[in-house]
Amino acid sequence: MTTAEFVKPGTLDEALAAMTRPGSMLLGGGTSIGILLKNRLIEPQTLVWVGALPELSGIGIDGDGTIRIGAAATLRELARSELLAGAVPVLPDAAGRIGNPRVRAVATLGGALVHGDPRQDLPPVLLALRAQVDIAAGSGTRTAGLDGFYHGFMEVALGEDELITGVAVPARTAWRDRYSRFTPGSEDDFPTVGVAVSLRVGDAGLVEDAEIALGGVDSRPILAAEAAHSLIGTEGGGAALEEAARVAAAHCEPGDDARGSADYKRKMVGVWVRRTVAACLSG
Amino acid sequence: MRYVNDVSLPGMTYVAVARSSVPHARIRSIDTSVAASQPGVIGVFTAKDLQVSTYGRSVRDVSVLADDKVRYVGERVAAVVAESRVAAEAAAELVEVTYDELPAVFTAEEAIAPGAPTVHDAPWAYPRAFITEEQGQNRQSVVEEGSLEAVEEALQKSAFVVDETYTTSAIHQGYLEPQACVADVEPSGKVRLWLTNKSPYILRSQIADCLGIEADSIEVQPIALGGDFGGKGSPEEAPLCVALARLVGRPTKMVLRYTEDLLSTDARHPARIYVRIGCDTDGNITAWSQDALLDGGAYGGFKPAPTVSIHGALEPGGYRIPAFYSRSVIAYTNTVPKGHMRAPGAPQATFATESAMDELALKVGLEPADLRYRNLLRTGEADVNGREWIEFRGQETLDAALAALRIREDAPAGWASGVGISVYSRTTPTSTSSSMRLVPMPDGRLSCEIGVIETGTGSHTVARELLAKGLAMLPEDIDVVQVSTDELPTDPGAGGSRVTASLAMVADQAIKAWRARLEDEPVLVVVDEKGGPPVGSYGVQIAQVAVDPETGQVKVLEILSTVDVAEIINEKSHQMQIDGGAAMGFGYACLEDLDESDGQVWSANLGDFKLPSSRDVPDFKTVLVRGGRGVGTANVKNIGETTTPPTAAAIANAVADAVGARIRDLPIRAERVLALIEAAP
Repeated sequence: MTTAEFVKPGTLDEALAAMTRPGSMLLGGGTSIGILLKNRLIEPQTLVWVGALPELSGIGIDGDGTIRIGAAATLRELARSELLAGAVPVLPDAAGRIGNPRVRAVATLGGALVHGDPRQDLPPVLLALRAQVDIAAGSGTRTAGLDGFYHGFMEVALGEDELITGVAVPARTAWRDRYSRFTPGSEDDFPTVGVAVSLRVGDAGLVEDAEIALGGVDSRPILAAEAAHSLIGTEGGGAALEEAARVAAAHCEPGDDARGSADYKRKMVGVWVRRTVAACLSG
Repeated sequence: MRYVNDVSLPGMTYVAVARSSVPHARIRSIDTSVAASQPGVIGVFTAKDLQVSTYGRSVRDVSVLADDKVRYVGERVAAVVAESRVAAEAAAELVEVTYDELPAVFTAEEAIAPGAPTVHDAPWAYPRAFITEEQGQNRQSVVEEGSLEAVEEALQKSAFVVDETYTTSAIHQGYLEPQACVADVEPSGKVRLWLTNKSPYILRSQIADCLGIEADSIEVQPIALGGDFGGKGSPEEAPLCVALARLVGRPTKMVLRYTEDLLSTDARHPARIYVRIGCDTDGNITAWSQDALLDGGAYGGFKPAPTVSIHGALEPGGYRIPAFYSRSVIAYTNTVPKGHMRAPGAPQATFATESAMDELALKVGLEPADLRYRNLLRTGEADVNGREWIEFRGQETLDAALAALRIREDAPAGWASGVGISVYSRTTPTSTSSSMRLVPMPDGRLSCEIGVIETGTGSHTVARELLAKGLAMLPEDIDVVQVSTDELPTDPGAGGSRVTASLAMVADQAIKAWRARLEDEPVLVVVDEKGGPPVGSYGVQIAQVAVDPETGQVKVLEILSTVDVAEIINEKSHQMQIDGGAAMGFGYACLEDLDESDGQVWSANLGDFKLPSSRDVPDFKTVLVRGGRGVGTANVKNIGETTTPPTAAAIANAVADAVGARIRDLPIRAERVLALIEAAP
């Protein structure tokens, strides 16, 4: 590990200013950066700690039901939030299953989103929720859909001078959301396959809108839009579900590793899309 | 408690090494100039700078720094000594090595194939080599027991024969504290060492031979170890640290990063074991053959003896076997050097043979427990080597296990359930060469000085309780102190399930001497106990699993360990060995794999090399079958290595029971299970 200057800005503006220093890198909870530093995979000159910025904190809900979460919210805050448990229970459920208590106590939502490892859990969950990210830079702010944010392995659509300040999740009225993380080895591992499903079900029991997002099976977290589309207008079971599972499995491009071969992961995408959709509809 | 990384000496320097990036190559050149010019760097050294020979625990075949050749990815090529660890590590990355790559062998099968590239040109020429030139290239050891001819003949006549091959993976011990060493060479030439080694008395000669100095000029200081599990028995980085301390004239400190530890220390041997077991129509074993080929990696010097690596072959479950044959070949390959890990050889051999016993039971049409029961030796019978043991309690232990078994009904809906059994027997060492000093303290307390390193098992608590009982004192009035190797004559070190038995033998003598002393002065006892009739212990495990037929996922719900015990000195630490052993057996069975395909360790960090977490381990239940006859007046049996070897076979047998899928390759990964389920007729 090399030495880097540690900067602790008190405000968002101070953080944005510190980011202009050469070789600067943002630090949230440090659970990923710490490993990268230790293995000398990154050698930043300045670490800008944004884990306690007031502008990046808090979990709230707007009048229209939009859920707003600060980028510095820790996974533990997500997991324990009563507001989230009522408004979008899939998020605290997923956050509470990541890593271990030591990781969850410090790891941040913003860090989880920008790290860009395709095996992470929260990106597919938030993709299926059609989350938007609020981004700030010295030159102003912008909002971007999470779909389109992930370009490739550890590549995200974020400028050198930009940071995520928060995440907005649209109101969940009539939506049912579920996330499955399939860890057939150690539960403390990245999932072999992560499947997030969000379904909007009408009074007649028909699926009116749907998203399926996948983790661990491509160079980035992906939406399986075609698979989700095949559920719309159906009851979400039977042949439609089989088709969704088949299309999702065909859509991903997994690699071989210790968590499974590409063939196995593809097969598991089919199994877990089926199971996760069924869980959505049953509960 | 102080660990090696806590040791700080005036003038300390820090060592980091440049490691080989290729599995097999001649070193054409090493350019250290850029590294040497970095701030804080005191010196950069290569093999030509060191006045050392090769080293090892047994065969002296390990290079301190690679000389003309590198033999695995991760081998030490050059060493940087610097004013800080950061400076040393940064400079080590700047050492430029030019290699002429050589063809390599990555598995034992490749290594022993005719015409294979040779890892060492003349391995038989190393001091204390186990092999001769006639035994062939790329061999570390070849050990045969019994008669193949007798086995072949008996198999011909057997009503049922199982004939299968099983494979196991390389795994790391997974101790918390990585390998570490602090070396200080005084102007007089005396060497002081603080290091992660559990056998300090034996270690001295291993280092002395390498450095060309006298063993008694080395003083190993007392230190606590953050876990051992067999991995802390070799000199590892110590010869390098001493050689560098001599060169720079200052103390040196080296603490491995965990990735370095995974890449370069002494992982468990992966094995391919060909098993043939025959029986008659009633299920009585007629013949037993196990032919093991183990991958020993690039060096053999990290293990203390060749025979220990086929433990389990010599006492195959304590069964009655009329015709027996066992062969173990350990091959040199261009992979991480292999060493010892908890019950060396036995987890591999027991996975193979206890899986084969279930396959045989299926052929005969007997319940797996019944087949074992009828073949377990009874007290008074001789084992396969013709030895008579003090007792055999395998049948009692098996009975107790079956009586305690409660079938789980908590498998998730839609999952298949299964139960699997596995039997293991292990020797308690009855000999020791050890010493202990009892020193009366002014306040009436007693200080007990021993050479046993506390590796985290509670061995010092065991020493205290043995003495308290024998001297009718309160345990809290006795201080157990590990002293340096200059302070006591000898100790065998931790390992081989021997610590409690060895301590009991030496404590017994110390108690007698203490009682017989004439004045209130220290008492030193030195024991050289040659041992009586062999003592052993049985461990029977029953695993219960649930298998998801759609994904192949295996959830191990419970492992019931039933153990044949005599007296227990400390119930808590005894139980810790049973549970910890089963947890390790579970990790071996289901998760861990260094994955050295293509000569690279692909699981080179603890994110990828998965050790079981508390969420992963099954429920552990224990039944103690008391009343056994153990070693010495303290009447103790081994425990530290009893519950690791049988676990993998118990789980594999349970999976076969659940879904009919016979796993013959470790680890038991979901994908493998699913493939077997789908391939089933």
